Amino acid sequence: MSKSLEIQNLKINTFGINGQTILDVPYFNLEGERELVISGASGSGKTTFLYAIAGLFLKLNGKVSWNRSNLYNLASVERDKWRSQNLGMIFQNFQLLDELSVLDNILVPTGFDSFFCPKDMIYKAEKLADEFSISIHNSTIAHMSRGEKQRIALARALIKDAPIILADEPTASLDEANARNILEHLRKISEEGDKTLIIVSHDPAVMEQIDNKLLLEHGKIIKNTLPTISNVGAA
Amino acid sequence: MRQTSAAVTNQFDVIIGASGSKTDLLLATAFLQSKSLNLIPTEQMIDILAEDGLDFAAPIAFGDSYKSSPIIGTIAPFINHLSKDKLLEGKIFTTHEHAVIGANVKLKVGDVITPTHGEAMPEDEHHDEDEDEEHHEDEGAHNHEHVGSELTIVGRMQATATAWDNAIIIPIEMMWEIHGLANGHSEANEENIGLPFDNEYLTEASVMVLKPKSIAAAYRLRSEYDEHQTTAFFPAEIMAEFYMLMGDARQILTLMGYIVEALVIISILIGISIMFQLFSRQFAILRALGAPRLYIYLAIWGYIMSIVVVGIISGLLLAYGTSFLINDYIQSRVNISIVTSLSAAEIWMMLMALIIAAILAFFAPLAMMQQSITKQLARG
Ligand SMILES: Nc1ncnc2c1ncn2[C@@H]1O[C@H](COP(=O)(O)OP(=O)(O)OP(=O)(O)O)[C@@H](O)[C@H]1O
Ligand SMILES: [Mg+2]
Repeated sequence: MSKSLEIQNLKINTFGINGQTILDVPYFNLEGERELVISGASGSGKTTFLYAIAGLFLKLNGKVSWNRSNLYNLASVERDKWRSQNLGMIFQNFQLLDELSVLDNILVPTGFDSFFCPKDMIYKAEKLADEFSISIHNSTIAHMSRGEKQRIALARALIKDAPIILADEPTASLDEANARNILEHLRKISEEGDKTLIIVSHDPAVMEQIDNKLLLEHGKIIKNTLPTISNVGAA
Repeated sequence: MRQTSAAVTNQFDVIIGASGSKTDLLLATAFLQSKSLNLIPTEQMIDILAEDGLDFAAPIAFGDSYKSSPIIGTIAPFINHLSKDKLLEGKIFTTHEHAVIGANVKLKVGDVITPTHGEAMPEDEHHDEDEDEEHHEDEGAHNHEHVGSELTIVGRMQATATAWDNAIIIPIEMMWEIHGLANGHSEANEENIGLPFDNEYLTEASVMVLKPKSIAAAYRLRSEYDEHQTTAFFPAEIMAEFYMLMGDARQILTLMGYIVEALVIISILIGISIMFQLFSRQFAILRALGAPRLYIYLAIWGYIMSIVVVGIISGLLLAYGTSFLINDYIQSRVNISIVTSLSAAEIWMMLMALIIAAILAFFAPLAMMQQSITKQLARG
């Protein structure tokens, strides 16, 4: 179920007169490896990288291919649909909907497919909330701690059992115990479901556990432990 | 209004009152709005009644009411004149206890009525006065016998397109008697009705309407009695002014309608732009999570339409609230309604607002979906 990812000649510039290149990836390939951790200094382009492979830019220079088909060749409607079906994403700042309840936030992705939320999805959301010690009652999103929000965002990313999980600093706001629990959970789910798990993290614990590492600096890959890149990079 | 203005100018040739506002006098004569008019001094009344070159000089006395009809006292020739020399049914009054009704009065010829004192307009004041009178009666004040005065309807006038159509007209002698005043005739001729009056027994009236025999006489009388004790004028002079005023009021109302309309559209636009500000990140989140276009579209469309509906409804309430307030005010002063119902123009304006809003609601989601997801997400 895991997917191959190939990036070719990806270049993302900021808009404006003195538009700068914030991400420049001539080639990158993930072929059969299920886990990847991306690290780098703040502002090095990690989030931008995730957005690019999530198909969140309306358009960009280069190719981002999942299972050999270029995401950016799809019409944006199709790309939205692709995201809905293939992606579980945890945003760096969670991007929860303050207007909704905790449970509804977790259930948002399931509401796209049918008008009424299926019963089993509600059950699943409650189970996820329980696993991540999220209290689904009497709490408003806006009043929650970053750690709580992070876990809700995580539950939302997992609700549809998507084959690709992109997690932007999923443990950054958590205490050590919670961080360990969540990392374990993520890895377990991705292993059991044969998912592709890409995590952006500074967390040494994360770095330690995941073998495949990508290091970004000023929008460029400066270190890649994956075997494929060196071949192509040399070519 | 135009109809009224023509009727007024044709039927009330020269109007004379005590010195004061000509507009008030005209309102009293044509619309029977007799808000505390001054009385013409008897001396002048005698002079006017003695003038040559007149078909008649009719004193008019206001004061009582029956149901919602004002009761007006005057003389027979004026009724004949107003009714185009031919009553619709019945005959003109020949005794003090007779009454003639206007074309629209909901009474029948042959009905007997007992008028109450005071004007037909404000209900509360009525009660006070009634109570006062009953009190007087208990004490045996015989002068004020009018609570018991019964009037028989003997005729109905033709329509005049003035407030007279809603009036009950009685001999002015009766009106004066009802109020315990000299009835215009000496004791020997007590039962007489109409002209001529005995000068010593004449009571002051607030308005006199003159029907001159010639244009020359009309101009002479108009200038002769437009002096410091009395006011004389042709209704047409005032009507033109009056009509202009009404036209202005109506124009102001229309203008206000447009302003409210514009405000509604502007507030809808502001509402939509605030919504863009507030919710664009939320919509970006939904898009990032892969929400289908229709889902996003309907969500945004729903938001906009709810703003639009709230905007238009409150706009309508605002527009009609204010225009009715203004209308009420005008009506309380002159008994003319200048806003009757939704005009075609107003319905059209509301439709325009709805159409503009619908177009906005149609395109706004499309515009919103053209925005960069990543940029909106960065706002969080
Ligand atoms: N829309 C944008 N316009 C201009 N500059 C941008 C935009 N988005 C990102 N950048 C810049 O691109 C660079 C990379 O940003 P990015 O968010 O990918 O960094 P990051 O590695 O995720 O940093 P952090 O660890 O702080 O989250 C930064 O310098 C950022 O300021
Ligand atoms: Mg980042």
